[in-house]
Amino acid sequence: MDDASQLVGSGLKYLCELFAIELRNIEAIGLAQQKMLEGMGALAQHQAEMAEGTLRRSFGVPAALPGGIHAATIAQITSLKSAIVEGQANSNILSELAARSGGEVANILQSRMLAALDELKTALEQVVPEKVASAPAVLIAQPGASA
Amino acid sequence: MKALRAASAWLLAAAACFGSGASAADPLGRFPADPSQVSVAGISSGAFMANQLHVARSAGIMGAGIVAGGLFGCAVDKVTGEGVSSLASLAVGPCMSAPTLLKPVEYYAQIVADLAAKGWIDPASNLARSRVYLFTGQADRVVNPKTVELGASLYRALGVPDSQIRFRDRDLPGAGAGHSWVTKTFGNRCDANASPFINDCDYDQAGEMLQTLYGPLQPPAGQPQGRIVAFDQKEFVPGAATAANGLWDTGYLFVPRACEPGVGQPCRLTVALHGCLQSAEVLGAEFYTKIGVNEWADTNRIMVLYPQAHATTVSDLPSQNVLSAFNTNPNGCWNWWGYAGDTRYLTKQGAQISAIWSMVQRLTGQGN
Repeated sequence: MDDASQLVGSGLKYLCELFAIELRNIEAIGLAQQKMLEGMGALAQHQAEMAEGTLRRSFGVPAALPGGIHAATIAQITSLKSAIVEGQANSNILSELAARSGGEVANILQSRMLAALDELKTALEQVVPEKVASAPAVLIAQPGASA
Repeated sequence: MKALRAASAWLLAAAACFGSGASAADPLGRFPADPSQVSVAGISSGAFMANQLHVARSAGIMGAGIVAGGLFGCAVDKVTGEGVSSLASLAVGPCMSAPTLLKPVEYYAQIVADLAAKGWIDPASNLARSRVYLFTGQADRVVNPKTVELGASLYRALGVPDSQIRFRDRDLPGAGAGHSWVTKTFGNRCDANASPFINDCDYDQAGEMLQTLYGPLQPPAGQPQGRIVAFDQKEFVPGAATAANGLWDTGYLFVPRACEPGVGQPCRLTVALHGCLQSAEVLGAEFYTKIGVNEWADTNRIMVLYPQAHATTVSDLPSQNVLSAFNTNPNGCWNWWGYAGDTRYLTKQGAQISAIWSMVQRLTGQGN
């Protein structure tokens, strides 16, 4: 009788541990989602700033330059080169923001997964003592086996 | 077999004699440096760091020499409660190659004000008495001259009078310089943008810089009579974790004869910071002996501190995770975009700024 209540007690304890682990998992997922949203927000904000900057600069280019077609052509080439370099720089910034945000999310989830595995191991060790776990299979009570 | 053993013994002896000086360097000694005469200079990443050091420690640094770099906070994305969040892509993009993407100078002045309000850097009002030399070559293909121009504008916005700023770009022999520390007779062709990033432009940059910072000086020595001292940088980094923080184990100090302990009155001190790919680990003694600074220092009672950066890889970092790649420093640059996970890199608490400042304090007798 005592053994049965002990078994029920440790089973309940194990369930509680599992429940707590699951709660912490959900917490981590929530944090990861929050980080993901923050990352997306930052990305959107940077994109908006970039669009605004590009518009501002393109309105700043004079339609006609004094000095004739030669000066105008050189100005166009310089402007095009500058636009390419800017485009590349903007793209790199967005890529880094996205990669950092993704990395943060991955870090949170990975750390939680590793911690959850450790917690599960500890909970199992508490419910199933090492002696019982390492005993030969024939010495462990098998309710159905004796019939 | 006997011959093999003898050869091994010779190899071991040779390794002991010529191996990395890093582990053999002595602690930085005490020399008589005047705390009111400390300046800082640098090229490229060293210029960005010199600028950061100057702004962060403006109460103790009287001037800065900025060559091909330096716009405080240009890699900062945002200032947070814990530090700053910076991006490598902002460093290589707007700060270096796409300056049209830089913000107006007021934006960077605001970062300075925010950091000062938090007490992470000295009050910017100290800068008003600073002297500043800035240089950019018109053939620089690594750091766009406009970034350096904006750096000069930031100093003005922070209260440095125009009369105390010398901005050099077009009106001298070195005007067409590539990305380099410019000298009178040593280095690559003037318009080169290649290692060792020291160019021969028939312009004495060291002389004009030091005279901007310290006023008129005696002519330079033909051959410096002072000595170079190698010292251990590990003691200036918490846990001696130099590599993890982008620092090499050994730094160098040039000591003129007149600045030896017990010889005379206190000397001036300038901190000279190399750029990326220019540390002693890469160039040997080239940077700390060939840029023309020691010649002027030798005859003008100026000690020159040459701290050394180190190329930080993922394996140097204390822990590895998904974001580790963002924390590396493959070219041995000074930290001006927050690598090594240092979110305070441009403040007094930054690992490198803190280490260099502790070296300065050792020399000025204000530290231990």
